[in-house]
Amino acid sequence: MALIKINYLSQALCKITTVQVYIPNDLNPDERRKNPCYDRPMKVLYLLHGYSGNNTDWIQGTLVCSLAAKYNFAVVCPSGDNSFYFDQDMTGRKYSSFVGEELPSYMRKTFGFSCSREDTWIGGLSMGGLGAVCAALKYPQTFSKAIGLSSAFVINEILTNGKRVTSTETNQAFQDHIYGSLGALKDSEKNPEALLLGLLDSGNPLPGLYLACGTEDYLLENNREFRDFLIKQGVPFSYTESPGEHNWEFWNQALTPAVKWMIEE
Amino acid sequence: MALIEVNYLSQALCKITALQVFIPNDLNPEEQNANPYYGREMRVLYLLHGYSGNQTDWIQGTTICNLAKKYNFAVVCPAGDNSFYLDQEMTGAKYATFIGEELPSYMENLFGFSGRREDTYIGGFSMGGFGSIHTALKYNRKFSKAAAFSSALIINEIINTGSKTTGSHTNSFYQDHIFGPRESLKTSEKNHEYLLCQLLEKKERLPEFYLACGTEDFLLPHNREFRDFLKEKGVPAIYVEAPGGHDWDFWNFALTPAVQWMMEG
Repeated sequence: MALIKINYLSQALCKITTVQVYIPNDLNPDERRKNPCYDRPMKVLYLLHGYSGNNTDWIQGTLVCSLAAKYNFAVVCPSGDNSFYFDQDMTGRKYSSFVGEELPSYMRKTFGFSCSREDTWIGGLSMGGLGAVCAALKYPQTFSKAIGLSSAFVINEILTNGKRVTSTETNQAFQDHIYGSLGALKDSEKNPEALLLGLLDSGNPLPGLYLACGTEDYLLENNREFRDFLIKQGVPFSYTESPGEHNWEFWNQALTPAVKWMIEE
Repeated sequence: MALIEVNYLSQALCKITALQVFIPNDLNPEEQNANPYYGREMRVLYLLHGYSGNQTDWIQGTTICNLAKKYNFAVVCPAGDNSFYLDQEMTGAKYATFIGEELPSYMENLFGFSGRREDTYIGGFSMGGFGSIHTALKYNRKFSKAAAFSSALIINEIINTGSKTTGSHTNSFYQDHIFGPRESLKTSEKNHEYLLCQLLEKKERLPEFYLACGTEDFLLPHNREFRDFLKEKGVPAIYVEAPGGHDWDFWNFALTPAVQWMMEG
């Protein structure tokens, strides 16, 4: 597995940003020959980390490289800088455009990755789970599948309470900065529900959705709520709960079936 | 300038190896549009470090990134691991094959670099100066130009005296390991003079040479000897001497005119 770290000037983020990229293009020839996944084009999975994390989270916390080598897909891990992967008015840093538009485009330009939607997927945990689901719903022409592990589906909680209640990690000032004005939030592109309704209206193809959450995770109810929303909208998706908390033990264990779903579905 | 670190499994070296790659593919649009060098395809310069150095030498010691950005070329810095960039029988690590064959091929596959000889150059200082001369001669179909600074052209010294007398950091065991038995050195593929004679005999294309050395450098006589050898063989080359020692002050200073020669010549 080629391990690549790239620092490049991002127009969307107005700064040089660091991305980890893992590409299974250096396998021993016999290993490669024996693996049927190498008879088809390489896929690409964009993986988003959670709050307080960075581009090295996924390689630290999981065996994503083994999975990538086994199933022949590249992995791209950007840094989300606690942005919830939204476009920010105040700083001018557009994390949503970055993840959904600029980064895939730059990765394709630099590494020659497939430009096909079928080969391009996105996933994440916690803040990154919300980020991945929103990116796929906002940029369905780019991503054909999204996986969300213990996703931070917190928009309704904020709309109801004026602030986060499932976590006290962030204060009001941070939340105002990230989520914007409450009045605009419900119909904004920060709200995955609004994004989905908009997408259903447009008639454009939906991304496949795979959601997983641990039964001891403090975001369990948030995930169940989003599951129920999807059921109500009649949208096909995959949802699974299993014993686990909001931690790497769960995310590492949940990643394998999620990847299998992406490869096989 | 995109700064990239690649770790990949090298078949030639039988191990995972680390590289630095600098690619000017993230310029601000206005900057790129204003620069005529971006009206042609991006070139590639493979830069080799000296004894005891590694793939981070060039970016530490020089402003190579500024030059690469100005003239639109990518830079690839491999790690030479004190090998003099030669194939090693004892360890099985083939550094010449790595630099001259595998690495350019892997880079072209990974980043889509031009594979054309006119766009592919090599350079280095000290041990890397020897390496770039040797590689450009052994793989003359790959590289069209070589820029070599303060080159460690010590083959003749070893043949004549049985040991390397300039520079005390290597002993006879190391020399035997790197250069092989002294008796076979005169007509060995490790010998750049021998390689040049072979190319002349077969009427093959030669790389163009740019050679520079500081007048206070302990390798000055060796560089003059090579200059005279080329003259004797009727091979045109650019040879430059300037005040300076065997240090980064000199290599950083020598780099700019060498790059100008590569890009404009």
